[in-house]
Amino acid sequence: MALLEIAYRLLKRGRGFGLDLTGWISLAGVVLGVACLTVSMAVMSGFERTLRESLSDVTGHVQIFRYRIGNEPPEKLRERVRKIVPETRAVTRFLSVEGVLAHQGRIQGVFMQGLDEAEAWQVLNLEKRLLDGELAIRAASKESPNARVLVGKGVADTFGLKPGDTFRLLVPLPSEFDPQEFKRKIGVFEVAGIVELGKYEYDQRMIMMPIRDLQKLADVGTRDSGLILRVEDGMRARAASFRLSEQLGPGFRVRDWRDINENIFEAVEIERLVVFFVILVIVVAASFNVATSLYVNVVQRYPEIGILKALGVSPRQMIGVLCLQGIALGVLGCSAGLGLGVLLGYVFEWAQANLGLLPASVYKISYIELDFRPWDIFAILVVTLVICSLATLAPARQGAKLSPVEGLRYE
Amino acid sequence: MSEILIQGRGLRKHFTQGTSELEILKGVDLSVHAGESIGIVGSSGAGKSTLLHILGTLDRPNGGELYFGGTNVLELSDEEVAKLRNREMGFVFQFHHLLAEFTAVENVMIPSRIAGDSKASAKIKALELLDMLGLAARADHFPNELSGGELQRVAIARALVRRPRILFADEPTGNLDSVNSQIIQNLFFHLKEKYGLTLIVVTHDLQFAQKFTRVLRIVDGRFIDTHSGPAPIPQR
Repeated sequence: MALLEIAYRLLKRGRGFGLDLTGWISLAGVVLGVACLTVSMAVMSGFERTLRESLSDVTGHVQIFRYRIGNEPPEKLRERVRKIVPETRAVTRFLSVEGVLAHQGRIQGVFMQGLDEAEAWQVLNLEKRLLDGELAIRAASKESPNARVLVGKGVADTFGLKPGDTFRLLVPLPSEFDPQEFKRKIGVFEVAGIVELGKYEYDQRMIMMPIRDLQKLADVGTRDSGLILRVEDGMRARAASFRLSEQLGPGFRVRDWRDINENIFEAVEIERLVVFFVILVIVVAASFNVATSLYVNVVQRYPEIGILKALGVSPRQMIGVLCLQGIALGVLGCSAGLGLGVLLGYVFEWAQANLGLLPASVYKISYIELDFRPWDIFAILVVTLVICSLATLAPARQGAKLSPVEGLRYE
Repeated sequence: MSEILIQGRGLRKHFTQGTSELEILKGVDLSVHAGESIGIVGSSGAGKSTLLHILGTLDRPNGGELYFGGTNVLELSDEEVAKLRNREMGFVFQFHHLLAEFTAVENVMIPSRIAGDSKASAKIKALELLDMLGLAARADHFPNELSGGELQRVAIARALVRRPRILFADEPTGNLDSVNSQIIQNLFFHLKEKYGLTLIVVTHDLQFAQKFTRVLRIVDGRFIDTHSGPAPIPQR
């Protein structure tokens, strides 16, 4: 404790925390490195969150699939799910069927999703993704014999479909007598709107329609494939998904938004890590400069080091005294860098709002709300402090090795 | 005869300058008894200070043996030597070597604080000594606010605050005018009597040297003669 005080006093009254101009410039490098790390991590985290929200608008937070269609009445399942996940905000049933789209002599395999038009939009949100037409899907009726559906952008491009156009969907159904044989079921549908779903395979294959029309087309009666959930906090969807997997019993497969979009989020996570380490290089380089300045400082302080050693400060204690200086500089660099990073973050947010930094037509995301995650900041601070301390260690060892006589000779 | 406090056998020290080797001490043998006062004299560059530094564990010899109170100092680790220095030895140099960032009393407190004393206890001890040396009023002054004689007295207080068994002084009056030099000289002998110190002083001042119980003259890296009692003043 006494040594800490001695070190502090030497620093306090010393020349600019023991740094000359080049030392301060080196420290500015640490500040910039920490600021870059802080803001880039916040942008990446914000991007991930925006992407998550954006993708969960299409897929929901949790999807529950039945292994066998309709093994439990939908209402009973819904009740059980709400009990297991009380934080469920909304739930809707869905039916997935694969089929073939045939239009103007061309055919393509498609993925049809039947949704309950009354409750689907409490779970999904495609408003920002509508490119043309309207989102209102509508079941076939006497007045309008063709059900109105949403088609993915890729499907619309391939077949040249526009809102109001009609096309045919074909579902192969295995024969009840001979599983080798298929009979086909055909329905005619009208394009209500064209949506961009944010994933290539969705855009190329997805068709969303009223569940009753799909049940009729696929000849499955009133059965469905499962439920889609929106929970209070999307970040906790995985916990909800684990609970459901455990408690729903066999016969169900549960996936959260992260499982569904695993590739994308894995890529973002890797990108975050790469960005972190690339920018960390700035901190490392700056720390080396700080170490150089500290070397100069140790040499300038040879007399004080000599005196303290003559008075009985041991080499280990001397390392402690000198390292404290590096740690103080690290703390200074971290605090200033963190402050600058947060400030840059706000400037970035302002620029997004006022200068349109992110063209929505390119990224489908027009605004990234920065996300300063405590864990990221903790990691940045710890790594920077460790690097600065290590950079100090070499000059400190140099000081500790100094014989008292050598130090006194410099006075 | 009192116990032997320091014993050096065949102490050698050389410095390397480029390719040439400069031999400063060429096998010095020395026994220092507790309570003795020893003056080391010799011409500049003869190796007086080097010997003092080695005896005070501030430097290591290239050869020989050095015992302090029966312990082979050269076999101790750096940490142990630092502790020994803090506990048993006090140093006064030609230049005061006070830390400019600390006041007089804080400078005197440093050895006690290094030893782990509390701030309050270290301060009491430091103020007591400063008071005894007539510096009570200057306790809160920084070194740049003190005169040469005052600085040297603060340095003496710092050397004595741990109540060491031995006090090493390297030209302690070399930087002072005759009045202050006399004050410091008297102070050394007064403190020696008061605390039962062993005193080893390197000096050029032969009148000062006369006052020691033993004078060792070092020439060409060796003691050429030793005297007990007042040393003769060489004729110029």
